[in-house]
Amino acid sequence: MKPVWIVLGVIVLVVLAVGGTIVSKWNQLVAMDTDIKSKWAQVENQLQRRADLIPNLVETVKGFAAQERTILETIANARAKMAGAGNVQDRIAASNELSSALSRLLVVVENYPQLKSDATFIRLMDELAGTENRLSVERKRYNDAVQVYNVSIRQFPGNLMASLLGFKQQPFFEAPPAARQVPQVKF
Amino acid sequence: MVWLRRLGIGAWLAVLVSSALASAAALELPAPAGPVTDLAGILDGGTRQRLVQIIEEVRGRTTAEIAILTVQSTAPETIEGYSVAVFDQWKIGKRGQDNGLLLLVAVQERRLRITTGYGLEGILPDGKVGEIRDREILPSFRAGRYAEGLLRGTEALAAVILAQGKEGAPGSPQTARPARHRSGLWSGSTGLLLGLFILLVLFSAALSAMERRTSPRGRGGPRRGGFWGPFWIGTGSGGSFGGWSGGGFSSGSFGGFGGGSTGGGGAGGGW
Repeated sequence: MKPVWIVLGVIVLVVLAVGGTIVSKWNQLVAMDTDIKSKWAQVENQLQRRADLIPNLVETVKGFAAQERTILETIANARAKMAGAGNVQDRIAASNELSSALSRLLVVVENYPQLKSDATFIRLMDELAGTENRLSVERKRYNDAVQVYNVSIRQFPGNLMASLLGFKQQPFFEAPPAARQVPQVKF
Repeated sequence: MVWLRRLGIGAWLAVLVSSALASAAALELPAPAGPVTDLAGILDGGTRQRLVQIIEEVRGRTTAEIAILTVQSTAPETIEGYSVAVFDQWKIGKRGQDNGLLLLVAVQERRLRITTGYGLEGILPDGKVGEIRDREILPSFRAGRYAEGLLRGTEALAAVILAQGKEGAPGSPQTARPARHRSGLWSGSTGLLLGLFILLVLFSAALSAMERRTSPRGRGGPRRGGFWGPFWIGTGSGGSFGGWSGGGFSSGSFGGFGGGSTGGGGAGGGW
């Protein structure tokens, strides 16, 4: 067999091998990226759920503590900001703001024993606490998916192909330490 | 071609070592000892039997699974995080329906949490669960009568589930979890390894064929190509294997739960 054919054969197989790894990496990155998007959709579900609970909560609080206008306004503003936020990064920031506003509300509520023992308020707080917990679960699942993906596109050889194929790092959903606690109302 | 064999062994050793290092140490969670796992020792035999009876009846009539776990403490995790971790590991509720419920009591912290699977959220929304907690469980707990509180709570929860019958909420909004990227020959690091091996085998074959032509030496064979092989392969597979670790394993010898999952809903409280 002539050396020329052997070299040609080797080149073809090199191309196939490299092509094979590029294809496999592409598939892997696409799978991870889709996973991230589906996990983010779950996060969005919970953000929406929380946003829906807020008007009821604000009304109930107004019934007992109408003079606490500042905190109620802060919550209304934070919720409006949430509605306006477009991309993932903005929504994360708006969500964190809303979480801290809600925590502050809980502190205020401590001064109103009648409010604390109102049945509607108790139910709403249970729902809110449940939603915050769901949000934290979905957030963790989203962050886990983002972690796997980010590591994959930063490690070798993924980093070469990622920049070639247009895969970028995704943001983590970091919650500020104050908002990390699920709201606990002590009765 | 001894160097090729050494390269192969080196590569697989690197793969094994990196996968071992990649699996992080997870939180130590208890294994279920049946539907009722009383690690804090607050239940007497009679109550425990009655609880198992109720749980079995619910399971038989509606396929919904209730699990009760009592521990001394959930530290360093919060009770919410611990509950979800246990739920994820035990997989309470029927797969696809996700109709599981976990009642967790942490005696030292004086906190309890009821976690509902996706499929039970329709008939047991957080508000309702909170109501049951306040009406049935906490009064007894505050008086120190844990067994009574758990029994009353379980009866109330079971009553709600049985009242809704087998259908309950129309299926679980969360269907099968997205499968981990488990695929064929050309996926991930396997593809890379395979590609490189093919490349190396052919390269050496080609070179030895050419060398045989030009100068009939003994068992020559290029030695210089081998050093970068294991390094590449090791780093490539180390990263990908990191994503595989951390999966739950199926639960204990009593038959196990049905494979359900939760989104973290439910209600908790302290006494």
